[in-house]
Amino acid sequence: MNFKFLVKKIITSLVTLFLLATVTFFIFEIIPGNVVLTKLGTEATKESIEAMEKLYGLDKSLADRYIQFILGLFTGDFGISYSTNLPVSSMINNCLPVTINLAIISLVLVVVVSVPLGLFFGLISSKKKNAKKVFAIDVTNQTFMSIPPFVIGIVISLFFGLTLKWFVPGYVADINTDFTGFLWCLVPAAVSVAIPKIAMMIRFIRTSVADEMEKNYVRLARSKGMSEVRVLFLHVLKNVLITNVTALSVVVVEIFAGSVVIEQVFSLNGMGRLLIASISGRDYKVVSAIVMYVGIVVILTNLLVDILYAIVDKRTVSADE
Amino acid sequence: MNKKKINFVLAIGIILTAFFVTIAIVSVFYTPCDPYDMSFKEKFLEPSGKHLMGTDNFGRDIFSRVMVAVKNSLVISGSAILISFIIGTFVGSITGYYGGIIDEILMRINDALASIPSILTAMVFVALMDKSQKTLIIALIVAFIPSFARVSRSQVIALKNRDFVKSAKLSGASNFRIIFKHILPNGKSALVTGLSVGFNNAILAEASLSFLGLGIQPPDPSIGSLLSEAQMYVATAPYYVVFPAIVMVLMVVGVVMIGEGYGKN
Amino acid sequence: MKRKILFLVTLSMILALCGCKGGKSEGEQSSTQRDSIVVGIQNNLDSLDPHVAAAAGTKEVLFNLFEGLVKPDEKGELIPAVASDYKVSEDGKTYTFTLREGVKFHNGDVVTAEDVKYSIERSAGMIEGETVLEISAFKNIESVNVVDASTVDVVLKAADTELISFMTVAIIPKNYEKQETSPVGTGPFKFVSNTYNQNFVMERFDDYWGNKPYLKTVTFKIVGSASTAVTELKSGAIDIYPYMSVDLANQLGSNTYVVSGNTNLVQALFLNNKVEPFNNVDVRIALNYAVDKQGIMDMLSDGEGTAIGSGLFPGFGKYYKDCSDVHSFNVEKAKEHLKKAGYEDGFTFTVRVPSNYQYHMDTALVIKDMLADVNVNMEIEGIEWATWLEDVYMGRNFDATIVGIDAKLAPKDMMVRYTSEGGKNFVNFASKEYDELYEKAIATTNEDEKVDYYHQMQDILANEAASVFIQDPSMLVAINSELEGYTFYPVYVQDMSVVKFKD
Repeated sequence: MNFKFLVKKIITSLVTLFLLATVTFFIFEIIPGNVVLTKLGTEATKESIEAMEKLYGLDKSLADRYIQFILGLFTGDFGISYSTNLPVSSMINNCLPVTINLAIISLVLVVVVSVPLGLFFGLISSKKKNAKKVFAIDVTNQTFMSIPPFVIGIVISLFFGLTLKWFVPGYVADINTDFTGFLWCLVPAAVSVAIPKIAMMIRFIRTSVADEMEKNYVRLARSKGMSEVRVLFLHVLKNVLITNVTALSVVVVEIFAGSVVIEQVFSLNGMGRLLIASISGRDYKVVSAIVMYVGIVVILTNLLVDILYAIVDKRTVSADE
Repeated sequence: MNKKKINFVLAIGIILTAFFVTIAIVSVFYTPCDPYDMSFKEKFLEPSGKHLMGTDNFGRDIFSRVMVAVKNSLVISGSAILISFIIGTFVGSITGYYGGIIDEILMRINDALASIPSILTAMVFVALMDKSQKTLIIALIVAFIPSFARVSRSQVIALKNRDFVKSAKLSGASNFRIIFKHILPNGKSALVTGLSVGFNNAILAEASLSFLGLGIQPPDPSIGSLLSEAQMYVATAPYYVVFPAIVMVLMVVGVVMIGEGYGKN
Repeated sequence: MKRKILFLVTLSMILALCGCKGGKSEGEQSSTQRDSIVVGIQNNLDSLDPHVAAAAGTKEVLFNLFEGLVKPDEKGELIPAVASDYKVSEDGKTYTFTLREGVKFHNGDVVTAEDVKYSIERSAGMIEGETVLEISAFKNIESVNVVDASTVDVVLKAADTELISFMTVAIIPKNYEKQETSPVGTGPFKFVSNTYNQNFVMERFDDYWGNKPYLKTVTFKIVGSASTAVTELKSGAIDIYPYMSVDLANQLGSNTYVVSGNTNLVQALFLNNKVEPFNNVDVRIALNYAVDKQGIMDMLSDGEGTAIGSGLFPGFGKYYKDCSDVHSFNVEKAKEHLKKAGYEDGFTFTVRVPSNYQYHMDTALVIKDMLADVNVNMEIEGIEWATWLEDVYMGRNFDATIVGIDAKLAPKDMMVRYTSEGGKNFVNFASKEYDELYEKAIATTNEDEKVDYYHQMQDILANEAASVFIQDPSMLVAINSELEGYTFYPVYVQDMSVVKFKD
């Protein structure tokens, strides 16, 4: 990987971010209706309108507000919320710990479960006589991929929460006094988000293991009398993982999407619940800020994956040669 | 993998999907009971011959409501995905074929939009408009355009320098004809797979939005809104949540299997 | 593999970095501790300033933090609170309050006569530059005078025997700027924290003048939906949830019990009398005939609740007049009136309902089904509570809405809502006759006349069908089996100072 490549990738990411911000800002500008008038209702006076416009920064020109919004990407200052009169950033920051930790736990679950299972199933499917088993695996996978996280969430909270009492639905430990407890409280939700993604990753990994096992270098190694398992761990594993790094970036995006819904099921106070409340309450500043937060995480992840991929891909190529 | 098995996946997918499409069509003309008619005396009846899936907290027939819900889900996600497929493919293949600065700009914007999970994009549009079926369709259309544009663009770029395109050019075919008559049909397999994945995602997105109360508004049923209502009464009426959940899963499995089977072909 | 790990570590670090920026988040109290409980509520509080808060759902919480000179007890009687005693002059124009000795604010300061004067003047809108929800009954106040350190006179322009009911208005410290973010009152509980979309926490005020609460900490947790409430009641994540329907209550297990009482709300399909077609009295009457009140109660609350036909609920005692049979359910008559109004083929309108209130949403669904029988198509739009307050209540931008309306223990607090010029008249009802009766009712000092005027006013609201008045809903409160002492009030409040763990 060279420096030029890196710079190019970073610039592309910044441009993408900038475009996203521009689209988001103007989309929320074109909507009709005057927030201030709706808020003040029939009792609006000239002074109260002016005061409120100033509070929300609506007294500034469109260009000024646009610049402010773009700068907000770096300062984190997205103004004052229409519905609570609190700074948007503080409202979002209150919700971040839940969403971020939920995403991390889900991601860890996806990787920890799908890599070994995917490899195992891959090994199975590389043998012709296992065709029926492979079909069964695929169908099971397919089914789990098709279940929406919120349905899994309902089942988990009913069965493991209320019937088996493994956890208390709706209870979240205090993050400051009991961080581990806090994380444990997120696990049921994380599992709900992770299950369809685990199925998806298993499938990706299984297919690429099967493909890889067909390649010449594997046949060669086998013909030299290497055991199946050794071949897998010495040669196949690395290539398979590299192929699937990009798939993981898709998983990250979908984990965020899934947690928006799942937070509602487990009544976790994350960005998803804030987003839904803000959408229904027409609090456009909060909505656009959340869009930008998610956008930043996704764009950063993509950038990282691109860079990492470039690094490892080069070495794979040379190793294969 | 042998041919027989491939057809098997495709066949299951087609049968399942056809089944639900049939239910959707039938629901327009006939449902066993009026899906909206409330009856105090018939609250929470267990599944029986008269009410195959039982009745809900307003005494409405769940089976009839599920039928209408299937119709709503299929109509909303189907029409949304079809429109966004047409727009996305059109834009993606044109810009991919001509390339240049416009392609670069459009694809940058496309990437920007694609960096937001499609359900979030859809939610933003619900925020911009009122909560209604129309909004839901528009929101889903916008949310899914980027992925179709991306797929078709990459297909066109991959194929545009092939020999059959060059020979078509030499025989004097217009650019339009080349794109839509020669290039796209050759990328059919990728497009169809994209379509089935998109349709699947659209069904899930519609269900999620309705589950969150941002989609179809009561009393109109959708699988998502049925599930969110049913969740409340699960202790006394477990059948209320079970049937819609099964229908939801089978519906998506059907669509996924079509894509799978077709892709392997 | 190493690179894979590296990738994940880097990713986690990015995410964690974002997470660290997140700072602190309020957690919930563990429900296993024996001196703290979690109470589920439906919405964010619209304001922590007791003189600004408008929502019934806010006032029921703030009741624990604030007190007036007097406060209601569970029978509906007004008992002395910050004042130990009061006298009304013979002409009914001067109220003299004697302050209770040594009542302390949560910040440790002793309540002074100046604080009382300030609080009354502020909520009367007499202090420049302070935006409050003015109490219309206080427009009648001529002046508030500090007589001595423990005596305050309230002098009225005209006699008003109901004024004492409004003296439940919160007493707050003068010169305290942060009421909105960190409220200070004299109630049995003091403010700890309020986190948007999460919870409102309060703890026992140890210097409280009266009976001290049993519980140390009470957390009001905002529960997203009724279904989460059921799950959380079962799991013990919340201990009390006051807004259950019968069907939901049936879902609960043995760790909770359910008590029922009147909510003391006027639940109605409120119609905007200014918009088509509800500016036509026949249309309004038709809707009244078309809605089966008993049917709603049967469907939603096993038949419990009290059907009403006008603007007051039975809790108002002698002032209340039962008008529920003025337009009793009759589809034929509904159709006749629609025909008379020229809407033979029906019409379509939109009802905007705060979607967090499951009960009102369910009511809307049942009414929609009933109106369909007279060819009226009611579209239901679920909206956020904040939008309801701003757009429907303040902005009066709606066709129809379904909510429950609360009131202080004075009939005029409810009846003022229908006076033509009243700021709270969000249904835009207009009747000269009604306005005149209202003036007379508040002016008279003769109790019998007053009762008579109020009855006549209720007749007008019923006959002209100001809205479709439905019921005073029965409230089902789910309570953790380990708790006792939950008390119903004739006003809409959640008094946590009397709730305790069983021994």
